[in-house]
Amino acid sequence: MKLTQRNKKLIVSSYIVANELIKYGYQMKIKKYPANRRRYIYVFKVENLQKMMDDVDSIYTRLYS
Amino acid sequence: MNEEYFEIFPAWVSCREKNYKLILSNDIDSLAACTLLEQQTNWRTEAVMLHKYNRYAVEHYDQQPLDFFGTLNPDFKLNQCVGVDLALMNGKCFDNHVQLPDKYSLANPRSANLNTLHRINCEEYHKKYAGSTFLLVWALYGYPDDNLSDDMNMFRACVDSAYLGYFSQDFKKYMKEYLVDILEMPCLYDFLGNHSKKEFENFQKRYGLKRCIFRREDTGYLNTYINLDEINRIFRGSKINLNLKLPDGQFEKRFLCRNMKSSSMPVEKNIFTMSITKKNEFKYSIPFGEGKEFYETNAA
Repeated sequence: MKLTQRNKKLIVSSYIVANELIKYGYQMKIKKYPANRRRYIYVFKVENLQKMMDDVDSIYTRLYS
Repeated sequence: MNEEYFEIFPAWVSCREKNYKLILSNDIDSLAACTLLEQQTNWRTEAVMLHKYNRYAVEHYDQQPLDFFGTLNPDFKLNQCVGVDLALMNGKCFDNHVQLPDKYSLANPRSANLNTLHRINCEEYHKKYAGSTFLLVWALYGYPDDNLSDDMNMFRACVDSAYLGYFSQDFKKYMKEYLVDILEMPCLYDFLGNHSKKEFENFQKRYGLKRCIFRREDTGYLNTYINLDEINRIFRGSKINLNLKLPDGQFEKRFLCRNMKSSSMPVEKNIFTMSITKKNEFKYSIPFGEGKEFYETNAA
């Protein structure tokens, strides 16, 4: 999971996590297939970074704990 | 190591009699440094931190990369441990990463790290110590620099690709300062000058030095494809007698961490490890779920 320049975008590489973020009401900007990777990445717009990170934390806890 | 420099290192570095527990990371740099520390002190490897442990597992194909923290004993306390090649935000550690985002930031005072002690930050990233943790521990605990065979020197240069600093225009002049003046390894510096980059790369391939250490999900034991037997053969019979072997025993999961990357200083709390790997790239891991509580109550 990667936060880009000035924390404007969050890049997610897992379909399941991306799907959960959409359920939480986050808007997916792009779904793209970069040339150097073998699968899609999902780019989300960051508005409230702290809240988004808290949500990511609860998604991780539910999926992977 | 230069005695003046030894004095600026944290005092815990010389507490050889205490029963600190070492945290192994997932590469040869950490394993070799742990072996040297076990030879010199009473400290034992009892925990492991594996970055992106699920990256090759088929059943985890669609998971985000996660970091695994496991221990041999269930009653493990984070305040008794020493991270080896791990840039801990809080607690004792040996490492070689840059940790400061700017010159006004506060560093981890218990980190035995040349970059932190020199207050190297993002703005002067090219001045960083581009060697390995293994070389740092080698120098700190007074292992010799001269009268070593070519293969031993080759191994020292290839761990964590420490030779790359010599072949990079940006790092080369600082490499001399760190290796010759601070770590007092003039023989290794000369050795780097007498060999080509290709020779180091071939050595790394021959011994699998870029391969990582992983945990078998079914048994909980550590495993690796690094050619440890061949490496031990290099040192056999010499006065150093480096005997690399993985810690024996089952590592039980204590917590998992989110593996995160960012181009600016992270805003989150409870960061377990953080390092700046390029001029503007922060890599950090944050415990989640049960790990969050464990970290909050146990943090050093």
